[in-house]
Amino acid sequence: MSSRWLFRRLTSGVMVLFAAMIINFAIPRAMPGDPVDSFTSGVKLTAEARQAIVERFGLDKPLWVQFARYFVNTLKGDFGVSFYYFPKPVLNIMMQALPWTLLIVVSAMIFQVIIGYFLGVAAAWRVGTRFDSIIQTVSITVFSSPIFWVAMVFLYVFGFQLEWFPLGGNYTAGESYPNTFAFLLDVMKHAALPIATLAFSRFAVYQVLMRNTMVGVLREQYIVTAEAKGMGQFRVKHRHAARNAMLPMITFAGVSLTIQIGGSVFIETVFSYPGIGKLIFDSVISRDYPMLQGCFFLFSLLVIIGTIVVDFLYLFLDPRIKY
Amino acid sequence: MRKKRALVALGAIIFILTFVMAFSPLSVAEAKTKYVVAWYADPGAGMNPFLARAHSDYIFIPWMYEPMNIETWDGKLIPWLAKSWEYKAATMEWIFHIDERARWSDGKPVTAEDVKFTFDVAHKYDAVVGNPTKKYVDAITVVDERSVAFKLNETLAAFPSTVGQVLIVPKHRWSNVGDVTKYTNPEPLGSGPFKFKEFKQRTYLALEKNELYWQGPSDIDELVVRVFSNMQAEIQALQKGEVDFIPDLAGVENLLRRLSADKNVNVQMEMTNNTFYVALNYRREPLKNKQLRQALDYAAPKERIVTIALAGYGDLPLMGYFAPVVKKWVNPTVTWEGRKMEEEVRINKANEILDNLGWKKGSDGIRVTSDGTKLEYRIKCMSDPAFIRTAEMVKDNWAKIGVKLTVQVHDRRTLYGGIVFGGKSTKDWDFLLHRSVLRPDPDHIAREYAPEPPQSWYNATAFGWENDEMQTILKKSRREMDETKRIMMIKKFQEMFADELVVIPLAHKHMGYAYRTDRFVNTNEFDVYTSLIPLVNVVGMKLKK
Amino acid sequence: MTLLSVENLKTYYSTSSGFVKAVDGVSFNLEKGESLGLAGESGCGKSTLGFSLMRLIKGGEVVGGDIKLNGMPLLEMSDREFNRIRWEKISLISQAAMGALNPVYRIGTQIVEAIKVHTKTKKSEAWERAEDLLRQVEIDPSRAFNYPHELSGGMRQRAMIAMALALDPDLIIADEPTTALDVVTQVQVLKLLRALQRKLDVSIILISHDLSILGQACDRVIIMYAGKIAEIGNVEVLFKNPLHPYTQALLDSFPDIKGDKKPLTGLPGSPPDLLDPPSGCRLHPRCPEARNICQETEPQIIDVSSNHSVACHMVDQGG
Repeated sequence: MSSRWLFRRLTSGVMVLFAAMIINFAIPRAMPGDPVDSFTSGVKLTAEARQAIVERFGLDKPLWVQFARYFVNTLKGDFGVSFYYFPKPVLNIMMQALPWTLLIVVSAMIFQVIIGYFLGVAAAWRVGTRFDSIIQTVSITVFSSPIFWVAMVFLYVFGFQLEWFPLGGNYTAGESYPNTFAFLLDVMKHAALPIATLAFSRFAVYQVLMRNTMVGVLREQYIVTAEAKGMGQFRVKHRHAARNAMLPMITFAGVSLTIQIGGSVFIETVFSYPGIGKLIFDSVISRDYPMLQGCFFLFSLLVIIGTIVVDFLYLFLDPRIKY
Repeated sequence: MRKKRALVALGAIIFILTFVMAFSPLSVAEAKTKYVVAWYADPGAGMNPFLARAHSDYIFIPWMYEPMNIETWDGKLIPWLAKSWEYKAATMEWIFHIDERARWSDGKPVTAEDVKFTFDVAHKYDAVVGNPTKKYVDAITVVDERSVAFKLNETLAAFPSTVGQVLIVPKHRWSNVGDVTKYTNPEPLGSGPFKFKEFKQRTYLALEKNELYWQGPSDIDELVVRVFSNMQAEIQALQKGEVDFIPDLAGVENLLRRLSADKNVNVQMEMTNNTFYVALNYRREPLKNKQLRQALDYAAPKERIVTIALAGYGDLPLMGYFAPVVKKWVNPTVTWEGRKMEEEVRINKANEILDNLGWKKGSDGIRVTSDGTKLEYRIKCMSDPAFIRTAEMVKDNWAKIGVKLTVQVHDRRTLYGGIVFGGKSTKDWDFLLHRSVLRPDPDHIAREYAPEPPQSWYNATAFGWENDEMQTILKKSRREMDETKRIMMIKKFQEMFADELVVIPLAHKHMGYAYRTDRFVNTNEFDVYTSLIPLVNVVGMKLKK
Repeated sequence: MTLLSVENLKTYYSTSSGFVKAVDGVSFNLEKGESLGLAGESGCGKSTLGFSLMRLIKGGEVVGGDIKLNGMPLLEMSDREFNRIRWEKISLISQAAMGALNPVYRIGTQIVEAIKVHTKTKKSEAWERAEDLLRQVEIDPSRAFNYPHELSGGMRQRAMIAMALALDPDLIIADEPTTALDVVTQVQVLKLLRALQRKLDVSIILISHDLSILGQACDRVIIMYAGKIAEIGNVEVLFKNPLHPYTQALLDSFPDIKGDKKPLTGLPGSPPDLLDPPSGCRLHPRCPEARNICQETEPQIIDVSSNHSVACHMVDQGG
């Protein structure tokens, strides 16, 4: 890996982030009418509060001064004060929510990749058979069912009817735990359904991607070599074929991070889970512009980090790639 | 290779184990009685009573901070921190006497100083909660340790109920805070039945019993308010026992029949002063015509709105804007004339009225007024299933009398902040399907229909409505200290309101709460004004013997 | 000593319109230490025959016949048993230049894997063995740490040979091992293969469409046409005195650099559809010397001499 590549990769990341910041800056100002109004949108404000907003965003100053101020504040991690949670800062609320969303989304992604991997490999191995077409049909059906509906069904069946899991929240409210392990167990119990929903609803992309690439890989000469070497089917499938076929899946996983967080908007709302998804939902309802701006910035950051991580993963997964 | 395999196996075992254990129940001793309340939003105000502005804030905070008095739906004021109050007409002073038993959870007494401090800072820093009292209060003075006097700049009959909207804080904890509207109040200390334990924004509030509570300690050791964003899950949690109490059932009416069948749950749905009505924009010339309004009223499908849109949880309205539940102020004689007629008869009658006006139907079935205006309008409502369904039903019925409606659905904020109410609203609407929850005290309706000075946030200004006679009565009623006379005025106003058809009332909507009955008995004797249901109810929840 | 005997082998591919008879009744023997060439046009079944020996047929199966390696019946073994034959007894050299090596593993890793799957060698020893093998094929042992894409085509092919030798197999099947290489490299690789084969006394079945390659590297050559053997013979005999019209045509289609200039001739038409092969001699529609009998009866293989056999009615009848 050359330092030049690293430099290029990081600068392009910064450029994307900068573009995101410009859009974030422009939207409330591009709306017709008084910018303070579009910032506060009909929230009853006292004169002082109004003045505070004008001063905070420098709305009485020229545009470039406003942008400079916004830029510096953003870099400092200062996204301003939430309208709804006034006077709490946006960053504070966001950082409380982020770990919960990451817990759900990252775990769900791991499950999606695992399920997608195994079903994809199994389907590709028996390509064209009834087994293959059943798996394809199931995947597409699951993928096309609305995530919101799947969440409701899971909640009703596993939370209410079977009583295996609690009906919402991230851990038992107000509980005092004898030890950290008990706490972690409780967290897991609460996260299980949201993770299961997200994993279940979105594994199909990985499955289809894995299967299709795998079908191609299985026609490669080196698979014949591997079989000729007298290895068991498992080794041929997983060590030789799947190892090559999983590259597109990994790429997708990196860029899908935001799609997943998008899905978490529904999931967190259904499961009353206090993550970023629900925060966005609530902020849209209460027109909490500073909060939404903060969340969008966070998203841009996550996408950029996601793609960079995938680029690095590639270095390990595919020796043909050199940066 | 071997090592790697062993590691993978170990990881898998841990993973499976944790999942298996996640199914096994937590073995924490349940010695304490825990009571879980479910609520659909978290308090934006956090734990700061001065920032309380929304319904949600009044759900979370009053377990710790209490008001001077609590208003019930029938119009009574229940003494709370204040045991009594009186008015000195000569000096225009309201004097409140604080209950001697009242004390903060640290043992210090609740004093006149605390009350004075609370109102003073609320007014000084323009806290939202202080708005209703600020413009009437000239000065607050401490009479003695337990008595405080509010000197007003004018007579205000409803002052005691207005005072009840402010939650009292201890001066000894707040005197150094400075601007109380910019304080997050990390360690709340109040006089309520519960003490603060932990607050996780957007997740839950955990409280513990205040052993020193002046009305006697609660039977509940730990109180938890859980934030649910999924109301169906909230209902399921109540049935499952994860939740003990849901203070507000609005929006889940369709699930209540099944919930009521649960023998461990009591569903309390009652009539409140919650009125569903069609408001008219009086800036539109034909809508000023009272006969047209009468025709529209006849043609409104009120019975079906009650049974379909409100899922049966509602009643045909009284026409004076007050529901029968507000016993003290309601004029029960202003019933809806159409209540005994078949819908077809009413529609014929409405058509007759419009025919007599000479407003003929065109070839498209739409009537045209004598000066050539086509009766073609928009009815706006917010995006809520009950509203949309109602608007559609109204539209279908009014089409039968030659009034064409187009239903326009808006986001709540846009509709109210951007179109109907507020200084910058466009006022670009014809009919508005609206629901309002009036406080029992008629001071509220007086401010809505005779605001002094006129403000864009109040109904009269927003609707472009004026009526000297009625507005004078309202204004006079606010200053009438003789309660009997005040009641007479309000009843008279209701007659006129009904006669004028200022708005077209559709139904009174029921509101309610639900709680589990397997562990606790509800010993409350009165229905309280919505916001404070949780406080009173939980205080009244006694453990089953 | 006979290492491998193939008796009436039939390998068919099943398609929606019937069976493709890719190998249809092939019999031959292979001596220990012998180098046998398999030649024919594309689609004549020579690769299918090679892969049948390793039971690597995809989408089809061996439907009849018998394969014995050192007297062991290969077709009767279970998959698990046969996996032990693979690479230990029979290894494969395919077109490494065209992707027969896994692109995501190092050369050394792939050789070590072959060793580790079959023996209980320590990892470090296996690596030493891999480096040793690379040395034998004239590759710098440090290249063991390279990935396939970091080597030239010729080096890759030699690494493949090294891998094939890893377990001292009795038989190596080399499927078009030099096809994608340039001529100079082809010669180097072939020489190396021949030298190693002689040194290690291993048998080879070399599959190629290129008769000149087989001429350089083989003791004996089988000419296949449409799933059947047309002619078998020692290289010298076969090349000098081809009896089958098809062999003659094949040889004519190669320019002889040293010999006289003569126009290149080939057979008209294209190989038959193996779903529905022609009756009688499968070559008859293209054969310049076809007679009535060729359409009706299938010619049997007859020995012309001790080291030369052919399946043609003309020879049969002494013509």
